[in-house]
Amino acid sequence: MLNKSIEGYDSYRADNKNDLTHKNDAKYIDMVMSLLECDASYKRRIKEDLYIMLEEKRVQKGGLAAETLLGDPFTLANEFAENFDLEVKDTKESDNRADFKYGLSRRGNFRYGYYGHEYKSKKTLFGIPLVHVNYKSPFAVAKGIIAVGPVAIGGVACGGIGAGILSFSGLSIGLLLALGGLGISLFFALGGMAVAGILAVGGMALSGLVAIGGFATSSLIAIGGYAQAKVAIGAQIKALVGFYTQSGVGKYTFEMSNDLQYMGEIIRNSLLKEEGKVNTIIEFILRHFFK
Amino acid sequence: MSKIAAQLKKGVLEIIILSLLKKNRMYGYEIIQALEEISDGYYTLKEGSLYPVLYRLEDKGYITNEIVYEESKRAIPRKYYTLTKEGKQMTEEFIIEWERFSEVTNRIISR
Repeated sequence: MLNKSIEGYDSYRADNKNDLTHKNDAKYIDMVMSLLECDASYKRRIKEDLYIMLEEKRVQKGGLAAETLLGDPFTLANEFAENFDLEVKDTKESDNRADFKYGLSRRGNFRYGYYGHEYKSKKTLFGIPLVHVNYKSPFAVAKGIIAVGPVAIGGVACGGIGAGILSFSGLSIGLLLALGGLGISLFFALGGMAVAGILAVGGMALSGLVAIGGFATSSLIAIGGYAQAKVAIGAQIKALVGFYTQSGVGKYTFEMSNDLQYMGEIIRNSLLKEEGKVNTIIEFILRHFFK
Repeated sequence: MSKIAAQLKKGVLEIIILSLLKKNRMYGYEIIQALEEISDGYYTLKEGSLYPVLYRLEDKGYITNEIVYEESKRAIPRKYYTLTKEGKQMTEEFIIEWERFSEVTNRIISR
């Protein structure tokens, strides 16, 4: 039924393509739609109904322009936005365009200095919304099992600044995993700058155990352009034991070899000689990657 | 229109539209006009308020729409809204609840 009517509009619009009034209808409706942030099916319904309403009003009131019949497109978009969700807050009734706070697309935001909408799922887990997306202001905070927003806090956090078990954000703080421009995690971090307890991978990687990156430093293993750790491999290294392509500082540092097994043996023997044992993590890496 | 009036109207819009559709199928503009006429201009509903309510009622299964192509000067069809069986039942329940609500509320207010 819906499709049929859409086809009706297509032909209607095609038949009237030279009619300035109908051209203006399309422009007017497109403008309203561009201001609304909602899913495609709703957009389709609204678009369809606005065409119908315009035609209905025009038949009854005469050949007036769309704006005269339905009002300012900004006000109309604002009404739709307000009425789609009853949780809308702080909306005013005037057509003051600075009142656009809810349900508007980024286009609207840029124009009026506001961000878009907020979505909070009805489903919760431990009293926390399953999904919370909040872009109501540049500093809006989203809190949910999945949280998305300028500031996001949750199980999975995505945003400008994010904190969560898993975090994928500009500034990312993750308990298990942090991915972002700056990633900080107790376990794994990946980013321009990565700081992690276990594994950090990034341009600059700082880690308690393993660091991989342009500048990598850790207490146990570091691999990178510049690598500093007990065991280091890189262009330039500073280590107890390691291999370098350019320069190395440390007691057991050697030029890089193509023979991984040989490198593994050197690392193992050097550590045994120096410390009398080989750390479990290093042993694991040697067994699996240096054979 | 005051904010209080706007909130009150928003709260009762669903029951009002369902009640209007109880007798006849109606199209969008017809609903707007009927509301304005019956309420002597108290309810001046705009498209941005009407359609979200209609969509909600449709999504809940209380109303359904029918596209009707009419032979007239109209270039595009009309979309008529009709109460579903569930909608009719819900409207009855709504009205009973509303009568109780308004009676109790008025009793409290007029004390």
